[in-house]
Amino acid sequence: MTVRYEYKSVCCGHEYVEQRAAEEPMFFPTCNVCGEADYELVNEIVLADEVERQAAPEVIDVEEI
Amino acid sequence: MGINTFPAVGGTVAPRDLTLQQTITSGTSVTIPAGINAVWTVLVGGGGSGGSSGGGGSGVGGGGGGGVTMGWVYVKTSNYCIIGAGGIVTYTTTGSQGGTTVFGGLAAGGGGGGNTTITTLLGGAGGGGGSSTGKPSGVGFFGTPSTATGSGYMGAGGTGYPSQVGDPGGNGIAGGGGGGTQAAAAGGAGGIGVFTGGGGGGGSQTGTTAGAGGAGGFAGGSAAGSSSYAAAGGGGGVLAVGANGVGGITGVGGAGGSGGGGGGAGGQYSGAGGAGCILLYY
Repeated sequence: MTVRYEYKSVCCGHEYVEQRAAEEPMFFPTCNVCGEADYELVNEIVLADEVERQAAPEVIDVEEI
Repeated sequence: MGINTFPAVGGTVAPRDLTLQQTITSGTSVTIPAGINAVWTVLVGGGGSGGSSGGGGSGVGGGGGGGVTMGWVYVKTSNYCIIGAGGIVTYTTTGSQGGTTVFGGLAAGGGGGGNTTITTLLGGAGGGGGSSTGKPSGVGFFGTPSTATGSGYMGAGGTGYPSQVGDPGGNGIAGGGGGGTQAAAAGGAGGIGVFTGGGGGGGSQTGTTAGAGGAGGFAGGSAAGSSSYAAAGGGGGVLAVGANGVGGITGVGGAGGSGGGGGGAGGQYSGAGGAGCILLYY
């Protein structure tokens, strides 16, 4: 399940997004702008299951000529 | 700390006044706020997985680090993306190649699987060579030579040897996988990459030393010695460190770090490659 996590740093208010699988840890928890503090989660959006499985190819019988 | 600093590698990879705004490791589409017309994009392909001795006596090669591509992407209504998967864990001698990461017309290739001679594409580093046949490593798309000193844009995998220490993987933007060994000697270390490190090469059943994973944006994992199987460390990725190898009768190679780290070679099971990622700056 893919989740779009929206963060805002508590130091300078920088808005930052990590779109990752739900079980993955946050990769960059500290503010990317000033580095003074961590991000705080403000919103999370579960994305639709985007993967559409293709149908199995048809089996075509080939007759010998 | 100033802006524009790429957190993982401590160097500037984006034009001035741009900041890392999004890190994408999953999904097939990206949402960019209205008013942003172009984004500076760093793509990282999946790392290759290491090879496995499969219970046999010969050490094999580690996986190569994922390739890196960067550039401007014009924002369109639908910005679909593909995140390259890391090479999978294997019980066989050959590791699998990492997947290609794609976004907005840019693409970054995956690292080569350990113990293969497949030529990687789009910047992926070569996998390390195996030991029993002294296989050469895979080479990079940009012509990196297949030697232990094959450092360049992406590192070539190290060559494995039947009777001596495996060559280390070549260094570069992406590090190559280390070569394996059949002798009572050490597997080669994974190549060091600016972004993605290669997985270490495997030691033999009679040896007690495998190769450590090469560092990428984050550190590579260390190898674990054992009287049965030494297991190599995984290469570091752009987003996380490589895992340490786990020695012993199972001999599991360390997984590559998230963000394109190459997997380490193992005695029974190899280390998986780290999945690719997309970093957006605007």
